[in-house]
Amino acid sequence: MEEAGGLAATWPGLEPAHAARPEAGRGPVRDHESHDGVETSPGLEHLDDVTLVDAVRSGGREAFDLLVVRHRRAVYQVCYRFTGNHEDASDLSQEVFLRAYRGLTSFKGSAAFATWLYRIAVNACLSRSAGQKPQADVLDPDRHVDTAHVAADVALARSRMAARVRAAVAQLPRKQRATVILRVYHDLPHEQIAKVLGSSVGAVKANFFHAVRNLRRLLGEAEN
Amino acid sequence: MWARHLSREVLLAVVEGGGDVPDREHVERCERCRRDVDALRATLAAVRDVEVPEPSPLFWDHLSARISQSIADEEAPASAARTVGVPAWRSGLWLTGVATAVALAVMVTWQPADRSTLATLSVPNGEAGWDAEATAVEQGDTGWEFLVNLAVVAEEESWGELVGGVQPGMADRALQALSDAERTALIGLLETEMRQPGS
Repeated sequence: MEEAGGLAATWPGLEPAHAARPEAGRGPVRDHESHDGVETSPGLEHLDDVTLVDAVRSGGREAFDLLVVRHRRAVYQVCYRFTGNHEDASDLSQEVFLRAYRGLTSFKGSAAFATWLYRIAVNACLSRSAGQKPQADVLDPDRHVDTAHVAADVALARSRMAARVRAAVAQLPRKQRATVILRVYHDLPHEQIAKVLGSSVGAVKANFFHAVRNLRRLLGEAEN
Repeated sequence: MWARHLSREVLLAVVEGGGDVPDREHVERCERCRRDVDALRATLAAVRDVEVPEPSPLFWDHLSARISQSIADEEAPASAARTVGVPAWRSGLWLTGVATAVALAVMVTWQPADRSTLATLSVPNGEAGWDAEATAVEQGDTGWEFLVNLAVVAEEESWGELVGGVQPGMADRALQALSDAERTALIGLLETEMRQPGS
């Protein structure tokens, strides 16, 4: 099965921190191409997020459908990173958009809509995960690794490593975990992460540094 | 030996491919800082390598539809059709099916007692219409009485929504959507009606 592409640009409207990444060849999948489940007006597609938000406030529900189409993949991926399984990520994604819809009146437009949505997603994930350990999907090399092109033993090793990394990330303190997810998997600049988490840039950098050091320790422990 | 090593912020910048030239040169010459940078880079590479499994291609549209539906559910006023344990769509289809089938059955089988009754009933216009119905009931017209009773029951179940929403083909869909028990109940109603004198 095809893995999710590079996550750098999965959130429209945000500049990735790195211009190029090792997996840059696997571009993001644009969600605009197919949305049979919810029809959106073709006339809206060229509008930016803020204009769509205004349209929703004026009663244009289909503008919100388009916002969902634009951002659903990124929201789902954030949720998956926090929860470690598809079911919870799916439920949380729905909850995030519902919260966003309810709270559109509080969106001032001073930050990007995507940043605002990230904040809702992170808060929802942290609320859900409080006092609850992430339930990783059952280890399934066929699902997590493209076994068609990789030898079975290599695929298994990668799958085990992935499970160890997920477990290590899950053990991080909340803000460190959020920082790692937003920085490493979504390539948000430190400044953007600071806005999402309501922290200072310095705090984000310090969190990130400690997070990586903790991950190094946790992965080392898992190896031994 | 270096008197001063890089701060964690600068180390992080170098790890992420940034940092000033003097800092990068420092890393090249300072074994301790180089070790730190290499270790952090290796950790980040291992973490970054873990990807989110791609869900089914159908999932995205399904997610959109769920979100759209949950918003619609929140916004929709509490409908009388949403009876306990019966989804609104099911309730509406059931009523539509019953009403349409009974109306068809009555249209086929009902013979008015006399033409004057038919003339009285043919233009139910506002209050006059309901007067006409009362007349028909008084005259013992069981077919019309059945419809009136049905309308009274249906009105309690949001008759206005029901009638307003009737579309071509809806009766067929409604009948297909009925459970076995509902279908049996409908057949019972129709058979009762067919057994009425004059049917």
